[in-house]
Amino acid sequence: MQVQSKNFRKTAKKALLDADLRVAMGRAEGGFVDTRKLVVEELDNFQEYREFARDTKNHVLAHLDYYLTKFESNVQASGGQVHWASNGEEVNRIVVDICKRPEIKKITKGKSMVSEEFALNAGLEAADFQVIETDLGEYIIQLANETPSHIIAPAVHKTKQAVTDLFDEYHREAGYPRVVERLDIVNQARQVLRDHFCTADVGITGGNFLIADTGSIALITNEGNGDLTANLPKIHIVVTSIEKVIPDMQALGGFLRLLGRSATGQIMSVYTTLFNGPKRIDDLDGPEEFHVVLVDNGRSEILGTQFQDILRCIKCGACMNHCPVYTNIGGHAYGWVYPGPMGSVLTPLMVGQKNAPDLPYACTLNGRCKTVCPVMIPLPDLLRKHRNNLVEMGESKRFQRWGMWVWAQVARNPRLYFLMTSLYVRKLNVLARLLLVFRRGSFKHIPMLGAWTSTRDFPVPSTATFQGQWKKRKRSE
Amino acid sequence: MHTRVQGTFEGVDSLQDVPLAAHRYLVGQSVSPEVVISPSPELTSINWKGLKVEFRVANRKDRSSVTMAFAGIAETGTLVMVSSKQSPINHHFLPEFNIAVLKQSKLVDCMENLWPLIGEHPRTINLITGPSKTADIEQTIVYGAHGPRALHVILVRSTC
Amino acid sequence: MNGESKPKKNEQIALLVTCLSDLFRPQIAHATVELIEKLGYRVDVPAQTCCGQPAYNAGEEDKTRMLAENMIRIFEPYRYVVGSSGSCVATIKEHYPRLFREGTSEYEQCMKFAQKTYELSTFLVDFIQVNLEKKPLFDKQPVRITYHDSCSGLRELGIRSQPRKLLRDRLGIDISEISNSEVCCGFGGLFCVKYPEISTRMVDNKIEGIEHVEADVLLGGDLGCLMNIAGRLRRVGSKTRVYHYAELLTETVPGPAIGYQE
Repeated sequence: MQVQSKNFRKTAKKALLDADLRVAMGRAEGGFVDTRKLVVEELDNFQEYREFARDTKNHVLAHLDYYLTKFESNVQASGGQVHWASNGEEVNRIVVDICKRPEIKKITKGKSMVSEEFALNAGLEAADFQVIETDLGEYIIQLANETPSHIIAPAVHKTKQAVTDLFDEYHREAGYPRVVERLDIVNQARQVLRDHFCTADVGITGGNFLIADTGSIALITNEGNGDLTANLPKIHIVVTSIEKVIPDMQALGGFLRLLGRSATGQIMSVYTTLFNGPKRIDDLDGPEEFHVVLVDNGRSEILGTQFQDILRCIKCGACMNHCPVYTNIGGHAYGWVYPGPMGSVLTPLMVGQKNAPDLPYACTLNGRCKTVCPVMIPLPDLLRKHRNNLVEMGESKRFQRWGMWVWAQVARNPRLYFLMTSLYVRKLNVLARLLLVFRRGSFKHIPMLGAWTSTRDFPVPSTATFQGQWKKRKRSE
Repeated sequence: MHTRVQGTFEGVDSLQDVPLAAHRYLVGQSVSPEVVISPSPELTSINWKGLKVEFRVANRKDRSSVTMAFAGIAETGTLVMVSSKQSPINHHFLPEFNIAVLKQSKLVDCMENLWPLIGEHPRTINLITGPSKTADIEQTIVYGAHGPRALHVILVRSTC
Repeated sequence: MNGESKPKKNEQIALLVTCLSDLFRPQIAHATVELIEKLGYRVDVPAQTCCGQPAYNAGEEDKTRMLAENMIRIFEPYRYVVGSSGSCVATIKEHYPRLFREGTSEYEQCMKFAQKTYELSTFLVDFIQVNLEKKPLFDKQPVRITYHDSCSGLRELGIRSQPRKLLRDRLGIDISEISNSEVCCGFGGLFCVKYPEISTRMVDNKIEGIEHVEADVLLGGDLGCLMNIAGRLRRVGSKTRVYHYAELLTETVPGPAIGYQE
């Protein structure tokens, strides 16, 4: 996917003016936050599971090569093939190579955020395959030629009306009627996609967890599209990333208790499937080939750095659902695959800090994301580290850096600080007396502070600083 | 728990009671009593009087299926399906109505106690918690996205 | 150990003024002094500057460390430090220790400072466990009061019930809660001037909540947020007035609200 993160400011501003987006996001925010809260409170040891998940992921990340090798040999033992891809180009090449057979034309695809990183669909289409996204949200945005705006609800920015129009445009030719009601929309998608499921030659899915001990892929969905994608075609390809490995089946339960609750407020998602290799010799259905493409794409470079914690992420989306910036501007403004707090940490690491200069700053550090993260990633702290790196690299705005320097020089010296602040409040007060004859107490405009005063009044300071007043009080005592 | 996740449920005394329960359920849903059944020994040995049954792999024309659960997880109301020559995978996903038979003796309290019961991993282990659903249209839940619109569990109390 | 056992009568307590209060709202610092003095302690205000929070959040760790060392030195002589801003106190308690290497003497000094520093409401409710005397409110007029839980105080210091208890004891009223009391108001320090459009949308969401409960007064514990909300409220012509919670706990009737003058 092309990186558009440099346009954050522009796209965010545009998003704020999008009335449809506001309706769609408003609905999503309430639903996600409230349902999550209920099911989290119901589990009395949610916090213990968070700590368990954090520690388990930390352990695996510290021994990643061991667990990945173990996973690989167990996949092979169950008859599957493992392919290692260090970057997106390699993934696309590997998948195209697997599919390059005369009889293969149509590929169905379950939702995979990893595959968005390197535009797998475009790569396959360029090799003349027909690719059909089967998750309803992904299908909608595929028709709309858009990218996901949320990692678990890719079409969260779309209103029902927009889907109605989209389906009408694309399904009319095949004789489908215009559908307005939610149930009818879902039914139409079910019919259209059912044809594709049953005629696809290859199914590509992602994977939520890779279990080293058994070589299993855990895939979690609510619609069931992942399973139809994985089981009906002759070939099942899993495209997934290396940080998703966990030690064993015993660990899986803890992660599942966290994931469903954090993502959608469910005690358990509808379909959790463990895939092990291709169909067995006497099985009645299932694919004949099973491939796992293990994607690095920059992740191993994050290992061992001060940002390693972000590799614990299980892609639940809770951080964005609780982010007051994300819920107002939507996911597209972030300009790449992963939006919201986890995206603002991950994107600069994966596409380069220079290509996403706004993301670390597009956060008020309110910390709500950190309190809901199921694997306890200190997201605001990592964003602050990004800012620190930008400063050290000399990438922060010169004006800001210079201002900070002057201010720090003043602030390190209490006497100078006292003089400067006293002078400042006095000057502003003189100005206030001259300007604010009828509207006392607040400025409506201050030069250089237009970013504040364009939408907000700015209070007139007191005539003397508190420290000045205190000195006076002490002298008079 | 299974009803909380929007599945329906009924208990019967023995496997022999399953056909009648299945028939009643399908008629109640206004679906004709034709089912494709997983060829598991428990299900093939029953007399399916009153229903039109076939023991084979499900295809897209089948409206209803009957499957035999390997186990159930009480904590989350989850059915555990283990693929084999007796239990094809597509039965759980292709039909609109899925009736799953679960023996009470096969209930475990949590997932952690399930894994020891499954030896060598088969091609798939399906943990199914309620009917298929989506919230991709304006975050409002609609059942029957791609998998079954309804999931009915028949719990068999007898141990034999 | 510093700041661990309750202060004795007449013991000296240092006030952390906080820069925004110093410049824009001395009333908050005065109210804090009054509340502490009324408990029988002496208040001292050593000449001080800024805790460095803006630099820290801008990623300027070196400058923050310099200012932190400055603050640690200034407050070194005191056993207790109390401030009326959740985010400033959180900077000292939660973030200062990350600026120094564990095991160094600077780190030890920093930890001492962190331990002895309190946010006003946690100092009064959790530490001193005071029950404030009831006083009449605004000349006995019924007033609907709501509260904004500033993020740093709420999530880094666990401030939620404390100011509510103080207000209940002192004024005999319960807060008319807004549904988004725990959602960021869009201030975020530099954020509000770096991304003014997003920030304005966030404060507007907050104001929607305030208007929904028809609050006459909005209270909070962090002046940055309060200036942001008050500034927007005044700009859109709202009747809601904004104060720091400490201002409503004093003996005197509070004066003009934030952004207003006599």
